[in-house]
Amino acid sequence: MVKMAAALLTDEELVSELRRSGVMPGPVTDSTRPVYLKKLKKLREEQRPRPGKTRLPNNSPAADGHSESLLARSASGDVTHRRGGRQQQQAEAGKQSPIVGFSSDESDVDAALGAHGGRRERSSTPQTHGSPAQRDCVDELDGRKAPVWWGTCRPHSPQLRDEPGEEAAKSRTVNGSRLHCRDYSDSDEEDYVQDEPPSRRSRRPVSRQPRDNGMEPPEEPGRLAWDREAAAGSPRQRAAARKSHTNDSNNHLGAAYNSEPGPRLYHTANSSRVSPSNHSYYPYSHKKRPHKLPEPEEALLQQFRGDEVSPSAGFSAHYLSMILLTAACLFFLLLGLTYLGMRGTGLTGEGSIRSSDDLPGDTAENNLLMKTLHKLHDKLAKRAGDYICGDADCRHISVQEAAEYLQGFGHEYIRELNNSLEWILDSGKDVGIRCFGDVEDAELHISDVKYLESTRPQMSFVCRIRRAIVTVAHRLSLLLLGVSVVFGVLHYMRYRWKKEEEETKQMYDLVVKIIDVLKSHNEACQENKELEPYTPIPHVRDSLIPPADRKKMKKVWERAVEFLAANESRVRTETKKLGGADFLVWKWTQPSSCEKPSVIPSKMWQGHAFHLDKRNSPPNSLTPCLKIRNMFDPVMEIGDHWHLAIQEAILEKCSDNEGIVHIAVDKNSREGCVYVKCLSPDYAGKAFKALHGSWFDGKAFHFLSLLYIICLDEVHILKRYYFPSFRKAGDCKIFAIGQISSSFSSGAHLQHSFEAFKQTNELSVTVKSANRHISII
Amino acid sequence: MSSTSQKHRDFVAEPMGEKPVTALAGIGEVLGERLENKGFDKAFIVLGQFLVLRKDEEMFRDWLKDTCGANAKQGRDCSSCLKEWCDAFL
Repeated sequence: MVKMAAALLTDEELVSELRRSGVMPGPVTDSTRPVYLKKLKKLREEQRPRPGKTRLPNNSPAADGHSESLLARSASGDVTHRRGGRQQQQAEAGKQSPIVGFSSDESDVDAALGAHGGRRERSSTPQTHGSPAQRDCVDELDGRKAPVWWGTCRPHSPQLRDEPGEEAAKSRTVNGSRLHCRDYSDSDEEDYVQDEPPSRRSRRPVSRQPRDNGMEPPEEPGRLAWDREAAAGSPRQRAAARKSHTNDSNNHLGAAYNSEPGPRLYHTANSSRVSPSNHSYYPYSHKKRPHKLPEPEEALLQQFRGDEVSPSAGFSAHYLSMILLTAACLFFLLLGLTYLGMRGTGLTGEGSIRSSDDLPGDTAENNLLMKTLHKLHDKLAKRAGDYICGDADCRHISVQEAAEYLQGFGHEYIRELNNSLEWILDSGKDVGIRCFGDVEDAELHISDVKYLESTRPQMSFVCRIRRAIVTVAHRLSLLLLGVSVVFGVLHYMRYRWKKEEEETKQMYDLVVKIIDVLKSHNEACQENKELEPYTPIPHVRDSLIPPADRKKMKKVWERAVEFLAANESRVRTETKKLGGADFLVWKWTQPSSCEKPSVIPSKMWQGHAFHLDKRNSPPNSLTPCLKIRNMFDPVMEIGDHWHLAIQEAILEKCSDNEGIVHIAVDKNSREGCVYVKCLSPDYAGKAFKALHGSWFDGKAFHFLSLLYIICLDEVHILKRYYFPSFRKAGDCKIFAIGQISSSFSSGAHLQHSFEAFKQTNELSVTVKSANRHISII
Repeated sequence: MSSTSQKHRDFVAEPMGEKPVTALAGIGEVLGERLENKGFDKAFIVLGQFLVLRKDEEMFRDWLKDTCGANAKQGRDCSSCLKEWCDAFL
């Protein structure tokens, strides 16, 4: 039973139970759970004797309540005496109660306990208290019985002594049932047993204290009972009522049996108060059993069910796809069959013929006519079907053929042939047979009719399938063709774009090369005055493009020349006579004085602007993140990979620094921002010293100024600059409030809320804290 | 237990590495196979269980008994050897 009860425990409960028992459990896993359950069981077994001992005087009502009352009655029969004893016990209870208080929340058990406590308490109250208030209360509660026993109470009290046997017997019946119930629910309630005494003790003083003072409102006990009953819930209550029947009758029997007024005091007290409370609680302990028992099974079942569900779910999931596939197949099959059916013929034709049953004349003739028509129709439909399938030469048959065909069935049919043809012509509707002569004529006379043809060819099934397949294949191929054409066009377009781009790039490369050539030539000219200051265009081309590529690069070259002519102001195109032939020449016209610096290759470091000292460097590194400004000018940068050059340049400058984790070039920033993340603030400090105040990139005289990104934690940096999408979202204004912890020089971690604004491409970070306002612009 | 077995001393002398479960003192071939069948094929997995039980030797012995039917002596050997190993290496 303990095991079962323990099996119900959830992991948390198990842990808390174990903790209560003074064991520090480790994690409860599948493998450790049984071990802990065992341990818990063992602990409980160990603990059981101890609370058992303390409980015995108070708790086992069967033995002790009964014996007590017996003892008290037989010994004294005196109300006051008993009262003293009671009070003593009460005092005891009062003493103990604060310790435990109402700690137990197990209402079931409380209720069950209430049965014990309540009964004993009630049985005692009439004896112990004679105050008017008490009398009132009892009056109200016990209704008609009160006058009887109150009237007789005192005078008959001596008779008490005569009754103990009976009383004992009666209470035994009551308690016997309790004993019984306790017996079978014993192990089940094992874990609650420990809670029993406290809850009872704590409850009793509460309910009794007002009574002692004579201040208790009359309905108090009733309400208590009600509360408990209400807590019990209706189904239980009903069950309780049912269960209590036996008990009830027991008590009432007892009451009836005890004709003596004196003892009736106890009886009424017992029967009217105790038994109801008893009734309502007795079944709890009783109910608990059926309620508890199925639970482990249920839990197990549920577990199994849970286990089953997942495979079945997997199973169904596995088969779902199969089912879907089958459904799709069926759908297409159906579609195909419908298609065949749609293309199939003849069947409707009969209907249309049959529909013309209401033609004039007597029925026998009509029947013959219809038969003839049917036969003709079938024949013609078959013929047409054969023709479509390629088995027959022509689609129609001549009237003679028809007549011959009909002759096979009998002479009367031949006679009807003319009639039927006439009818067909007369009806003017499409009856499945078309008549026509040699000449196409709107008005056809019966004598002109030479050939008959079916408008609803009837094909064999195989033929129909073949045709359907052919049609489907045909359409599919058309579709595929269309798709492939579109695809091809798309591919071609993409290819064109790519090529275009490549050519443009090549063109720009070429332009740069041309300018380089022209520049160097210009320099050479300045050094060597004998040289002509211009360069013939074909020479430039020949020097730049190797002969093998010349043909291929012709287009690019032409574009480059065009570009230079249109967009390069420093190059002038002139016509010069060279060696007797006219040449188009390029002449570099830029004054040489400001060219000098540009000779210096780009992305170079050019030393420090000043020496770092206390004034222009922060005392110590604040964060591992650095922001470098002025590193580049995005307008001036060309190509796709210039940011790599910048990264390399930074790495080169900080070659002794191994702490650089990441470099992000903010390609769109007009400030030329580069963000550097280092392993630690110390590394950042090193990088700062290496980079701050440096000149970089000779072309543009970049004077670097570095900033520690203060108070922006790494996550934010990452979000903001390493994931550009985030940044784009707030292009004009990034507003972020977050909790950041930054370690300041004191090393203390401060929590700041910060707002970061990005406005008109200028970063301003405003950090607000309680007493600090730092702004970096 | 006046003296420890050779197996115990061997086990406690060095990190367990990838030793099989039978390297544990008290775990012979029979118990080893049973443990292996339950997924405890390496000594460190058993150590894991021991640790999960907060190095409580008593509970570990209970567990061992439940899992592979070890008797009292086997359980004692195994738990004490794991305990000593833990004292030495953890």
